[in-house]
Amino acid sequence: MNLLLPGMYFAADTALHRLDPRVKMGAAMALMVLPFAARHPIGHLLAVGLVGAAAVLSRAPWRALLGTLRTVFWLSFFMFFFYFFTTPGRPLLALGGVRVTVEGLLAGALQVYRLCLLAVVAALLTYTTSPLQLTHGLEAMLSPLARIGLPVRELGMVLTVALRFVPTFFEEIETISRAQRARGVDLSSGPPWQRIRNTVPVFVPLFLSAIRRAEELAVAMEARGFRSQPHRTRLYQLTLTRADAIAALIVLACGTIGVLIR
Amino acid sequence: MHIRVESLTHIYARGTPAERVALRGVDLEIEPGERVGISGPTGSGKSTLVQHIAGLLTPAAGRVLLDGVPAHARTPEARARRRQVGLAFQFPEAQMFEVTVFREVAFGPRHLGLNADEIAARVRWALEMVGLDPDAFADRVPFALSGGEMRRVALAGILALKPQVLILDEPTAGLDPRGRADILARLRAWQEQTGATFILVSHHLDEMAGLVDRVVLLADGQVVADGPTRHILGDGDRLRSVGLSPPPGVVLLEALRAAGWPVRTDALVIEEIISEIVRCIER
Amino acid sequence: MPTPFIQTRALEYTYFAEDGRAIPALRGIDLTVGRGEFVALVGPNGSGKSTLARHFNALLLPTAGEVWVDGLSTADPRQVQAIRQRVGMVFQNPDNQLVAGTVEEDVAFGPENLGVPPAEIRRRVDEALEVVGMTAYRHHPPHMLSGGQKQRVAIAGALATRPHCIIFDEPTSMLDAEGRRQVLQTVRQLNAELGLTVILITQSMDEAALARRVLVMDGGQIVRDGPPEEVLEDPEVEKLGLGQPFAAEVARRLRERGVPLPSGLLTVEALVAALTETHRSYAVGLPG
Repeated sequence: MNLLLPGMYFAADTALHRLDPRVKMGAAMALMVLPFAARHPIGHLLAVGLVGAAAVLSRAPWRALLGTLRTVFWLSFFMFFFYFFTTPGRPLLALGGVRVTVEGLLAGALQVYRLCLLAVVAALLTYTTSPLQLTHGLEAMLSPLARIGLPVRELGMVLTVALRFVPTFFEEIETISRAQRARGVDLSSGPPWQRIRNTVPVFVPLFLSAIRRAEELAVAMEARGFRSQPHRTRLYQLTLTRADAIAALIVLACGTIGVLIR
Repeated sequence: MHIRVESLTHIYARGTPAERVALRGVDLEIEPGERVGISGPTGSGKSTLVQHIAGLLTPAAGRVLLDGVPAHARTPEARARRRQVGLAFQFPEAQMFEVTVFREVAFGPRHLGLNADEIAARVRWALEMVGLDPDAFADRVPFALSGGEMRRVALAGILALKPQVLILDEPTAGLDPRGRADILARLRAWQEQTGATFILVSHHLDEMAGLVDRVVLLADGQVVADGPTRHILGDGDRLRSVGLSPPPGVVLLEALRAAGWPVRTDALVIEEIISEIVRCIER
Repeated sequence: MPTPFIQTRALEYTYFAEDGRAIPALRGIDLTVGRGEFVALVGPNGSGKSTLARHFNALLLPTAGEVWVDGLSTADPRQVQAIRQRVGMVFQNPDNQLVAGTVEEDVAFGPENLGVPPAEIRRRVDEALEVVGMTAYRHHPPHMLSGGQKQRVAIAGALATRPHCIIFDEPTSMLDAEGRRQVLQTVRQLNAELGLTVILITQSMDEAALARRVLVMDGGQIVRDGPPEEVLEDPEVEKLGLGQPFAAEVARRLRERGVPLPSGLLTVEALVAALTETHRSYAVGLPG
């Protein structure tokens, strides 16, 4: 696993780790929208600047952050060529029936930049925010919906447990694939139908293990007094600090400027 | 098969914050038919090392040679060598997925391209080897078996490959004492019958004592000791220094020695321990 | 006899297998465990150890008979939370009992469920992590810990509800020697220093020898109940295939070779002390 996968949190004590999850999630949303909403280069500069600053503050290793771009590699690839070949404008090159344009080149590059920024922002959020904090933040942001009957806390619990087991399942997939390879399956060669069939020895054990884990976890949670009911309290109460206020203001200001400037 | 590990280095999650060096320049040579124990505390790299020997991982540096061929290479020669290495992972029953015990054990042999008769013969042989009656078990659903029976089925699935090198990673973990002793006795019988190379990964040093002739100790990704079983397992201080518990017999004899008894401290199996104490008393 | 903490009367538990057969897992258990006791629960696989233990914090309810914890009946749904606060459980697989993404958030899970105020949760989490020696790892995600460390986090999670009793269901069977040592040391400390009632389910007779009372189960019944010195060397118990503590086995074989040794030698220390005494008397009896 050479990626900072979504859900991969890295415990550290940086300014970005300490921010309130609601602020971070709000800011992340703003930073994901900004590259799409901005019309003027200054808007994009602000977006890149903020993401860059956040990356520095998070002290995430740059190699790991660049690694996250792999998650959007294929999507970027197709987006680029789609825009590259379909955008009308000044001709750059004509080969046979295919004509490419300067505008196409720019539009393709713009899509790639947007996707990359999206990936980095998502990675920074999960890297600096523990799964439980993400859940708390999400619950806090969704809490108005609890009044119309949405089981927000239960959803939060489901999310917490799911995120907790993401790394476990990735490790398990690795281990099971290796173990089956040790039994003679070659998972990465043969015709496509063969390869699909070869995933059965990996996914059946993974699925069974997931069921077993879920059963055991349910017993353990029950033994620890978990019930689906609203009387739970929290170790962390979300409280906004001055740093949160400053961060929120900076993102808000940059976002507003970035969107409004034409 | 001759196994040669040359300055092998392995790094997990390279380039991420979770990066961890699991092996640092390991050198090791194992001759055909040797019985070798590999031990070390959790995280010492023992599981990583045997997965390299089975050609399942790509080294960050160094290499593993199976009869002179790099174990992880994507060549037909390397693939042929890898097929001669059977590796049972920790808790191997977690990899079962078939609907009957027969199909589960036959899974490996089927991938060797054997015909149906040969496969059936191997499944019978392997089930008998692990102490399960083929007639009673072949058609049962693996997941309805007891924990000990599932372990045996999983091990049979590896034995059915008839490997020249058998590697077992903690084969008795989580079993009750009676099951442990029985499985180990059967694996030993298998080794004596086939003369295959036998590599046992375990931190249960007392179990290892009667099964292997040589022990390799790993700590923090490096080989810290390698020698005859008695020599390595009889040295309680060295074992403790790398974070392992010496076999209980060694602990007992060391305590007697500390109390002034003129005992040897490297007796490993219980008969030997008793004789040693009786010898001192009768002097 | 200390004040009773867990009591069962004519406890029976029957479940139905997939093919519809009724399987009696517990068959008439009458048991009293006193406050502050250290009890080991041993028996072959399928003898009903875990099933019995799960009745002690209302995870299972009796088919017949009754179970009281600290005077509260487990059959009363209003008392379930109070019982689970009093009796914590630690299970075999360290991976499948940790809920949250970091150590301290996991330890907080129990008190959160009980509605403990945040400041108090903070205090309990810190205390519990201190007791098991995991304070330095408070911000780590569980998958970055060793098996022994995960089990200590699970113990801290149980401690954070301020229980009177913790039940350990084969807590060391998936651990290496070092993890085993760490967990057993913590288990003993909880009983000796904090005065908690401890029930330890185990496959290892060496671990059972640490307790002051051993219960042997077979076929859904308690077939033996007594101090380890009496129970663990009992030939009837050995017939169940549970093995013996290492020191007891050496002592037995030495006795067979004519070395006079008392019974009840369950630890290496006890055996060495007894042998040294015998050896001296040999030395005195020898000429010259």
